[in-house]
Amino acid sequence: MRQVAWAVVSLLAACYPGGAETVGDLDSVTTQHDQSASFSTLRTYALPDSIQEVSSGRGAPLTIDHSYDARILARVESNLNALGLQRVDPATATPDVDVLVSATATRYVEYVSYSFYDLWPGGFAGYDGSWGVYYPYGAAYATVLDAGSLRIEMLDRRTADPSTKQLTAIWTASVDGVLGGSTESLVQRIEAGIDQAFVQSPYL
Amino acid sequence: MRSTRPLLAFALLASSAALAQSHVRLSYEFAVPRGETKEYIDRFSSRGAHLDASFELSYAFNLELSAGLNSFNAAKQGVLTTTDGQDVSGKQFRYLNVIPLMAGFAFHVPLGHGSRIWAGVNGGAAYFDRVIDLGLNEYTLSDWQWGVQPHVGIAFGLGADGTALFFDGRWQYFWERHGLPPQQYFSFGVGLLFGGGSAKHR
Repeated sequence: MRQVAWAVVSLLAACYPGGAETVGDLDSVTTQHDQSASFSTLRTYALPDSIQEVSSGRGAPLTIDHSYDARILARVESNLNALGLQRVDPATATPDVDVLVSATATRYVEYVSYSFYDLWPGGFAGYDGSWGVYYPYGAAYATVLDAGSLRIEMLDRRTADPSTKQLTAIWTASVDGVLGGSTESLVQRIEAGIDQAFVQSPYL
Repeated sequence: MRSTRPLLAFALLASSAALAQSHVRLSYEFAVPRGETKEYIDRFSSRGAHLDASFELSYAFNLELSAGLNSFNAAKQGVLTTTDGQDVSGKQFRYLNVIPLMAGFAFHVPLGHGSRIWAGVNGGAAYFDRVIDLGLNEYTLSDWQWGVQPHVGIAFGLGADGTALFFDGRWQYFWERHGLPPQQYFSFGVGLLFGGGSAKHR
């Protein structure tokens, strides 16, 4: 009877799809925009030639390889140009918006302990899932996750207030994911994320 | 008057006659989402269970108490607009756990040898727990929703002890509440009925 119960549980578990299977499954693109901003009147933009590193609020910062900055910025530029916007040099012309690109790479570490059931649900050597495990030295396992984000900010110069020195961000995109795989595949995922950010922002 | 109703109901349930006709049904269920539920998760659920207790109030007329669990899940690619105005795209791993808690009435028609057919309607509420894993984030939206649960079933007696093998089907519909859309799904169960043979009318 017990074997039958386990067979049923295993069968049901087999029907339950797991979560992410590849690092790409954990990629996400988040966009936000100012509902009151006038995007249709945008004509020009300025885009710095480098990607700024910013730190995340939590975790330990990782070193960022900047050898692909030009390629990533070119992808941002091509999407902006496809909207009909013209890139200008802020030293010679005043753009409607500044487009700033920044990146974070962070290592998150979480220490956890597992019960005997979590370690070996079917039981082992006479010990079943009702047993606990005591770790006299505290947490036993460390979960390490390296994650990164590429952020694109669109700051409206037309509404800049010199008296309060405040710029308004009218569009923000964040391409987020787990840092894994080859550098080339990582850059391709970032490029796909940049394209997606513009695709899911039809108001631009 | 209001305070006496629970006492009357309890007395009714506790009467030896009612208890003598009572039976319990335990079933494994799969479910097929419809309507707004299907828009959220377009995939049938293979994980579910129901526990029903049935008390015969008069001949063939039963009070039903019902509790269940139906778990749906599916992966979907698309853009999710959150309640705080973010548009988030990526592969969404969607989960929906429904815990319906119902009570109602049903007509049970005995067929002899512990077999029977029945049809009834339950009413009550269900707790809908919606979870979307997207990227490294989790988005949740959960609440109770009121609903109805028409159901039919057929049982085949397995022996003199009143145990029977049964199949049932339910339409579970829950009204919009707190801005959450109406939910509905069909569920189909197979299970065992216990205690059905003690009915003195058979």
